[in-house]
Amino acid sequence: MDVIVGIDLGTTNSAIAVVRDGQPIVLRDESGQPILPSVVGLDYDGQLLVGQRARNQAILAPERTVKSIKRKMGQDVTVTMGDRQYTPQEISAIILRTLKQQAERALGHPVQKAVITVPAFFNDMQREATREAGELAGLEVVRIINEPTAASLVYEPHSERQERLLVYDLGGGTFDVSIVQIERGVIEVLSSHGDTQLGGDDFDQLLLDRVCHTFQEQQGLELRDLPRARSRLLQAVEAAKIRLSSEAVTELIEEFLAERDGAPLHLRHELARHAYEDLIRPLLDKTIRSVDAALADATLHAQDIDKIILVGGSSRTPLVQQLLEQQLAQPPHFEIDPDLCVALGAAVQGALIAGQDVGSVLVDITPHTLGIECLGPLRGMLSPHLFSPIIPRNTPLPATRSEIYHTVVDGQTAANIHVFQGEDQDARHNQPVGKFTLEGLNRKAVEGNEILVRFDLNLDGILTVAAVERATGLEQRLTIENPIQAFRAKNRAEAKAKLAAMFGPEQPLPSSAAVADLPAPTTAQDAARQAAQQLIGKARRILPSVSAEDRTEIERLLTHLDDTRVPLSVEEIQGLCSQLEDLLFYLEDA
Amino acid sequence: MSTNPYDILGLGSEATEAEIRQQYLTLVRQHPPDRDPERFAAIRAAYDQLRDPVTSLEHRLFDVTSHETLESLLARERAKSLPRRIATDVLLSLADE
Ligand SMILES: Nc1ncnc2c1ncn2[C@@H]1O[C@H](COP(=O)(O)OP(=O)(O)OP(=O)(O)O)[C@@H](O)[C@H]1O
Repeated sequence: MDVIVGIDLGTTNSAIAVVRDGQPIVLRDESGQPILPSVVGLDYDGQLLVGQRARNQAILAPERTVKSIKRKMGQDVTVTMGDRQYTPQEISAIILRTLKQQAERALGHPVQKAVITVPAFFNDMQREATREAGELAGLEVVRIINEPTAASLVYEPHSERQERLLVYDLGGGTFDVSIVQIERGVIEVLSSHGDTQLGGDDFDQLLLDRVCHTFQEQQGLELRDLPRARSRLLQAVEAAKIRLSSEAVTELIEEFLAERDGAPLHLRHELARHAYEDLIRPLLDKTIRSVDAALADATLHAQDIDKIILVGGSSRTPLVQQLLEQQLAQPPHFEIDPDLCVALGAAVQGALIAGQDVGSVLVDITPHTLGIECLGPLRGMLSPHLFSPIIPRNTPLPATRSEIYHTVVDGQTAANIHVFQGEDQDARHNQPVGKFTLEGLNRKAVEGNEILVRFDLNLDGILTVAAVERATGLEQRLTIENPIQAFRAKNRAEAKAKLAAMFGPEQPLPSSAAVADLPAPTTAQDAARQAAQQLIGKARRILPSVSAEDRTEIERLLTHLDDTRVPLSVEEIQGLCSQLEDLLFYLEDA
Repeated sequence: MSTNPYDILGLGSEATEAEIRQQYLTLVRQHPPDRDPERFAAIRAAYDQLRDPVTSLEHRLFDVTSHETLESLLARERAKSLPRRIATDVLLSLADE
């Protein structure tokens, strides 16, 4: 049977997972890390760096490092890395190719097929760009699924009874909220809203602006103009932001950040959680408005929601949880690991497509309305830009819909079909998806010649359009003229070659002997885990009575042990247990 | 294949809302969108039609194979739109009898 892996291609972090023995597991890298930072760079020799190593050099060499490329997916832009230009798809392909290799090493066999997740609110072009990146990386992208939907695939319903979840996903670069209904193993997405340009990166930027502004006032130096200082500060404010999720006040100290007249300048800045919250509140209010809109679209009220599920690193922000609780009158849950559940869910979907029985069936929707521009009344005036919806938002996928349109004048021989995605009555305010012209219409036809426009939206949320002149059967299908398609035709081969050169020759896979050492859920592991249970119970009982320092240490070990989603080897389990045992021994003694 | 949504779902036209939902779920499990997109689309379209009270009534009224009379359909629809909760005093008077 084909193995189909699941990939969470995140703005800041990415992960890859697979279903093994009916359970989704994350495939770790050589050093045991489950998460790959979505950072790509070149070292001073021009060698490719991906992940943590690229992230580490970002401070020293911002000009050779690319972060948060996901925010540019689907745009017709390039980024500079070293002395070359790269498209967003190429940078994403480097991340995907690294994940692919990581998975192949962990599994001991080649990986060719993947399900890749995207924010639910990604539009057609952003999805196309993601698919393109996968293909450049040498992966067949069998499906693109929405991140919040993937997360809900990992959720284990508590009963056969209908359950409604609100999945709130706030990551590094994007925000999504989806309302999902689960009944008898059928997972139906009822509605989705979001913002593909809102996430933790924006919080970092707000903090950076604030810190730099103060520094400018005190020292008269604009740090944002100094690439290295800026890059260093950006990592420092992100770390401070994360600390503010658990502390009320934190201090940012960066020594030797810059120089003036040969004298070093240091930065010291105290940050209080409430001041930080005031900064980000307008952005979070926007997310709450999306929550309301998603409820309204599903014709539900707050009290109809059985559970709120938090996904994405930024949902750990206390203010997020507070605002959600206020709005929905119930506390949100971290039932599933907010960092890994998207990749795990993608793996579940992959297994389902590969024909494994994973117990759930997914019915997803399109979050955007799709339609064409036509002649009609817009704000009381006749306009050629009226948006005429063909597939309304929240329609289950796959969907096929058609509408009949008419020509405007006698003898009209061509019709412009201009496709948009969005909710505005004025097509110009929506996202253009593509256009084409149906030419060669019957000359003799009078005004009102009928043209049937058919939209086919597939499971990936990617659209095909056909227009037919009803009288003659003349048909034309849309090859979308968007930047991604154009890229595809021109630069595909070139991009592949470029990537191949950067990665060097394919690394041989480890021999099967090495593979045998890899953690796989085995009976020996189950046994080790069972042995661990008693110890874990003991640790839990003792937890409330120990010092804060010991508690943190115990908790660290417990979360490591409890994390059944990332497989631990017997040795690892035993190692953790003996550490725990030592601690407990010493504590009980004391 | 029939275009009647009741036939597509394999239901009789007397099926209740709950039965329609249950049958829809059963069929979706048998024909997931991922494995059988066309079949799923047909099932879903039929389900949407039956969920919409107007199209559902139309199908039952104009379907020649239906054994329902106009009267029986109207009676059922009327019963649906009537308030279902019975006031307590009615209950009490029933208990008295
Ligand atoms: N404890 C925390 N408190 C606040 N923010 C946090 C915390 N931990 C991580 N973050 C933030 O979460 C973000 C990363 O989240 P995640 O890894 O879920 O994003 P992603 O999947 O890369 O992004 P996206 O889903 O938007 O593409 C970063 O902005 C990071 O600073």
